[in-house]
Amino acid sequence: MAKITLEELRRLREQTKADIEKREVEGKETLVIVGMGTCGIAAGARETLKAFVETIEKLGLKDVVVKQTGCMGYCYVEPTVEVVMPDMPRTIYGKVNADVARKIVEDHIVHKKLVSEHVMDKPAADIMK
Amino acid sequence: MHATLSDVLYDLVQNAVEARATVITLDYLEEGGVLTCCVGDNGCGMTPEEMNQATDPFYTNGEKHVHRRVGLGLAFAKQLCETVGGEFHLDSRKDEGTSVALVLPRDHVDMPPVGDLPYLFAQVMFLEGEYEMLVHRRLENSSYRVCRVELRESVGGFEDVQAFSLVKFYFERLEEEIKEEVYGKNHA
Repeated sequence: MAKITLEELRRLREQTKADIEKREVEGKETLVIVGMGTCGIAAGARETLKAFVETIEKLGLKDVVVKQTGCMGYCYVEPTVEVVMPDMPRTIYGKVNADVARKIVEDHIVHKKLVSEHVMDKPAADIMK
Repeated sequence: MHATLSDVLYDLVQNAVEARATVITLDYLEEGGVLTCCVGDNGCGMTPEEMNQATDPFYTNGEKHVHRRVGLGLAFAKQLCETVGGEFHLDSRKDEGTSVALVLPRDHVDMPPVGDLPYLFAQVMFLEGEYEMLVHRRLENSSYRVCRVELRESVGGFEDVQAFSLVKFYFERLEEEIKEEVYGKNHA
């Protein structure tokens, strides 16, 4: 098997881009930020991130950006995820395993409905001091 | 403790990004019965005193969170090496950078699962910030190297989920290819 080259990757990307509709308005996108500090990783945040990426791809959502960040100060409810999107409050979710991640994509991002049982409000007490 | 070796390595790369490194290297080398993993960076580095404290799970420099008194990334890496009878090397110079090396016996009964290696390599490319990332993967006599700047140029930016999936696919193919070179077709 010949090694895949960056040129092949570039061609694949162009094919993919051709399938993606051009974004209508800059800044209209949805942002999913996954906390990936040591605490998040130990609690399974890498699986959470994977579930977000796979679900977003599966549902064909074209205007969602998934980012990784460090510890958000919610170590006691890791994995934590922040979702920022138009027409919805900026929301931080806690205890987001892969199943909850799929639910957040389907309920919050697609249907604009909060996943209430996982919404967090403030960081741990030692961070707030 | 992290569940997989990939988790440990991801944590070390995350440390390097947080140390404001502009160049980070990740080596993942499997040769004979030994797996060597190295994460190097040119970030803020540590003084000899900070280095001694860095592997203490109950110490942190308090920069990330002022009131927090624990820092576990390096401590987990060191603990893993001790558990499997491997070697842990930490070298750092203030304002020059840090390198962490884990030398592990591949077949030790207490070795954690490797985890999803292509996913790890894709993930370390997509951390936020302007840094160059070099991944060097070797399996016996076969190897590949990927650098972030070329990858980013090839997929036209790292902004969307589709780019992430393509990069992951790229690493999956590279992994398949070196395994085929070493073990032949239809390897397990």
